[in-house]
Amino acid sequence: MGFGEFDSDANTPHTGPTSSAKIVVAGGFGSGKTTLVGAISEIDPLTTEAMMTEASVGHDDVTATPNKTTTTVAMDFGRISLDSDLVLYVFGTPGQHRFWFMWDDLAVGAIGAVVLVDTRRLADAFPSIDFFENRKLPYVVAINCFDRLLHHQIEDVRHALTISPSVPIMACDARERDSAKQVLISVVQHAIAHDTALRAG
Amino acid sequence: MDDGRLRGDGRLGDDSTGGWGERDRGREDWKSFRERVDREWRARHARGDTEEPVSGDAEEPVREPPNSLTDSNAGQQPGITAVPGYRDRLLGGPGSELFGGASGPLYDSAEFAAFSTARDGSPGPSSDELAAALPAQAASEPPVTEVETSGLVRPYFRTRGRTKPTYDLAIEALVSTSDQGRVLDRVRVPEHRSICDLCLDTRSVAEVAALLRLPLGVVRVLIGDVAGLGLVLVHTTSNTSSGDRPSIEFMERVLSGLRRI
Repeated sequence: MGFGEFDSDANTPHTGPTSSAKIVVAGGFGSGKTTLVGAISEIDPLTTEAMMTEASVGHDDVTATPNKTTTTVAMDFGRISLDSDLVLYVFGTPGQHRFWFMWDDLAVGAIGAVVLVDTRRLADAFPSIDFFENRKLPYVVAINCFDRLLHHQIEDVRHALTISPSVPIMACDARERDSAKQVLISVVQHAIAHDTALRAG
Repeated sequence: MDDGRLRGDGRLGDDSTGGWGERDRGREDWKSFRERVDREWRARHARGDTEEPVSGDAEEPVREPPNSLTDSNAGQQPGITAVPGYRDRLLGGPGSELFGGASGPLYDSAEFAAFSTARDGSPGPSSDELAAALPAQAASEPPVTEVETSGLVRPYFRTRGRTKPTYDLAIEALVSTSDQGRVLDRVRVPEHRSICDLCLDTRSVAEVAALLRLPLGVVRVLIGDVAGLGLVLVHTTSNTSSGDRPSIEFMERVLSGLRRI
């Protein structure tokens, strides 16, 4: 790369992870993104911040908290060590609309995405679905069953969201680690199938 | 904004009585106060008046703003008093302890020399704004201590205004401190030191940003710098096949890893 010492394994005596993968978790406000990230992450989920600037005046009401100069970009993420040299990062997308620009950063190089859906607020999922469709990023839809009950037939949800039959839809409980794990597994499976199909044809 | 108000508090600080009580009594709309101070300062500046200001504004903006960064005498102006608690609030911004806190190391003067001289040479109208924007922090420090970084520095000041990293870093790219970076004494710039400190365990760019509580863009530039200095290793993902898609082999590894956990 001609820039510093990149990935020169020769002089790294310690053994840490050397490669990382990324999966994006999207969905409407309150659909359980943070919960899902927290359920599967081995660390407490972290959040990145951005400075509140003039651009945010009028958007963020800070009259009650005049000392607040940072606002959370609510991009929380968790970390899962998959192997001695492999780490998976799970990124929850920023909730606020003015942080859409961060979605590109999230999508680049990602294996795939999860769109979490709360069936009570189905329309909240559309922006995420549109984004991943446009980016041609493989995604699965996970219906978060808040009270452990699936209120709708999965195929009804597919029709309501008007997504193609090739996109997997599943029910999940974002609070449970195993359920979150199954969702991530199906993202990777779908991404592999998606890319294999692309390569073949 | 918050930092502006803190600076204003500092200037209002009365000579002998400590500023806070005074300020509460003589509270004044911030904007008009700011305008008044600017006006007075410009008037005095135009007259070439270098005497102690009559209004008791002990923490008058520094006459030579750029030097306050590198010149350790900048805080030793006559008539400066330590306002109780002021220093803590000034230096107590997010992540300040990661930059060495109140007893942290100096900015590398060589690093910032170019920055200072560049501004020294242009005493245009903008120098007023700069004086107001930056170094009031340095001027209001207690006399004995040396100049250091503060929690109120605007984020892109840490990158010297650069918003684009020299190298395109993915948010999940892994960073680990190199052998060179492990010798922390050699790392003079506080931000560089905190990054070297954090990355003793391999971490992603996003983790560094979250733990330093700095915006991602700033951290990208800073990590680009430390990588350029050879203090950290950035493990570039060689797992992509075509475009930005991970290779199928790599995804298979992730899949089997996920199944194992």
